Order: sequence, then C-alpha cells, then structure tokens
Amino acid sequence: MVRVVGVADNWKAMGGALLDRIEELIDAPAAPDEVERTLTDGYAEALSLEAERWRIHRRIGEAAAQLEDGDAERVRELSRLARRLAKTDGELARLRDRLAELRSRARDMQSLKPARQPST
Amino acid sequence: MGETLDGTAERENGGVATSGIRVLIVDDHGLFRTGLRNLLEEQGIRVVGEAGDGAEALGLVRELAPEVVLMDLNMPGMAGVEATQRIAQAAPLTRVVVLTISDDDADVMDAILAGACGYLLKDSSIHDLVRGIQAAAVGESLISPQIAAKVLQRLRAASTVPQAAETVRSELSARELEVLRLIANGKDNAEIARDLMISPKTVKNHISNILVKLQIENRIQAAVYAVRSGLA
Repeated sequence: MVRVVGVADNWKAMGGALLDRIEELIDAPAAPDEVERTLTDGYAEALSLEAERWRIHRRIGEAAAQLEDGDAERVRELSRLARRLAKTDGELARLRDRLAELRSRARDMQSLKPARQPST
Repeated sequence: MGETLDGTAERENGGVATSGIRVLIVDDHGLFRTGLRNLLEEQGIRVVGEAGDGAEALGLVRELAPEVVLMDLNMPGMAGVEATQRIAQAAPLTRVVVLTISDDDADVMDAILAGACGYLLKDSSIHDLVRGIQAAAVGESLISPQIAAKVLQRLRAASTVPQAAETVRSELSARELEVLRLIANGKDNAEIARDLMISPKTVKNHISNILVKLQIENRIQAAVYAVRSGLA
C-alpha cells in the first residue's frame, strides 16, 4: 500500500515561506545568484508536490480497486484523497505560476545587462 | 505497469519502459536532487547516484557507469559544461542531459557542443523529464521546445558555412540527406519514419550512418550541422 503523507502537510510552513520569498523577488529583483537559488528551491518544491500527486493517484487507484458495496470507510478515504489531490493541484499550479513570473522578471532584468562575452 | 525483480516499479511512459534506466543526478542544490530522485524513482527510474559538482560526477560516472546523467550547468568547482565534455570523452556510452534554469542561447550552444544530447529546463513537467531521460537512454535527444526554437533561430540567423555544406552533400546519400533535413526540423524518429514511409529501425540506421560520416556524436549536433550547411 502506498502511504500518502508529508508534502502537503509541510506546505503551509515551507511553501508559504518560499512563496513569500518569491513574491519579494518579483517585487524587487535581487542578485542573479539569489534569484537562481530561489528558483531552484521552487522547482525542488514543485518536484515534491508532483511526487505527492503521483502517490495520491496511485492510492486512489488502489482504493478504488478494493471498493465494495457498502464500504463506507473506503468511500471516505477516496473522498479524502480526492480533496487532497485537488489541494495539491492548486498548490502546484500556484507555485508554478509564481515561479514563471519570477523567471520572467529575472529574464527582463538580464536583458538589460551587457551581452555575455564569449568564453575563451 | 509491473514489478521488477529488484522491487522497482516498471512503467510505460510514452511507450518506452522506464524501468532499469540508470540515472546519475548532478546538481549542487541538495533539496532539488532529493526531490528529483524521489519523483524519478516514483516513475520507476533507477537513480544510481547523486553528485554536487562536475568533478564528483566524473568520478561517479567512472564508478557507476550510468546510462544517463542529468547535469546542472551552474555549479561551484567544475561546472556542467566542462563536466559534460569530460564525460563525453571518458564515457561515450553515457548520455548527458542538461537540466538547468538557464535558457540563455550561449549556455545551450556550449552544452550541445560539449556533447550534451538533451537540454531541459528545470520547470519542465515530470512527463517531459521522463521523456528526455527515455530519449537519451535510447540514443535520441530531447530539447525543451522553447529552447529548440531559439537555437534553430539563432543558427539560421548565422551565415552558412560552405565547407560544411560541401561535406554534407559529398558524404551523405540522398536518403540520409532527407533524414538529416527532418532531424533539423525537429522531427523524432517516429515522425521521420512516417514522413519517409520507412521503418523506425531504418531511420535509426540512417542516423547512425550520418553520425559516423559527419564525425559527430548525437542528433542535436547533426541538426546544428544541417542548419550550418544550409540544408535546413
């Protein structure tokens, strides 16, 4: 059986702080290194959320396969999983949207700088 | 989907089984490595090791002989382009797929010329990441679509190299020229097979011949060669 724990529970603490940092950098872009670090933190978080989605999907498949008439507990579990999936989808979509915005801001800032010298 | 003997899940993803593909992750960001490892393992891909920089990656490639290396570019110490070049020389059977946040033209070109057979952005979906790994494992290439468009645009803007054009036309057969033109237009093997009404295996044979005749390492370099020679 696949255990579905972890990422969503940590999201409020970890994801919230990360989203705050992303918003700050969108409003006032900092050094490229800091933007890159934050983008990578964000992509790492997005990977965790994607893994969470994958586990929930698998668990839903398992629970649905075991479902029998009158199995109220299984129905409740499926309902719980469906809500969790919707929540994770929302968090992932929001995170990807903010990352895309930060990336776009960083690109705009980069284009204002002189072109890179060819490496020797 | 099924279970393999070592307990890893075997999955079909885009028609190619992911089970058994041995991957090394190279990135200086520990959390990203962990997230990527977990997600790839959920997809049935075997992550055989992780490295935090290019030098460590080179050692692990020699020790573990992974089929595919997922390589970040911007790392302290030996960075991704140099590591890619060294891996291409030391372990030609290991395919390097760059996985980075940079969509800078110069970074893309440096990576391709260093021998990377794929170039993906870190915001790629898991589906695209897995497709990139699968493509690399069977000797094909995958570049993020937005990157591919930029590279070809940049190459087309540059002037044609007459020597390259002469080499292409004198070395390749008419059929190989057709295949090369389609590669440069971003078609994968299945699409080329459909367009030319030949089997994917025949396409693969033509591509192998093209790589040998032009003395290049992968289809991305073939696409670059085609554009530079004015073929595409």
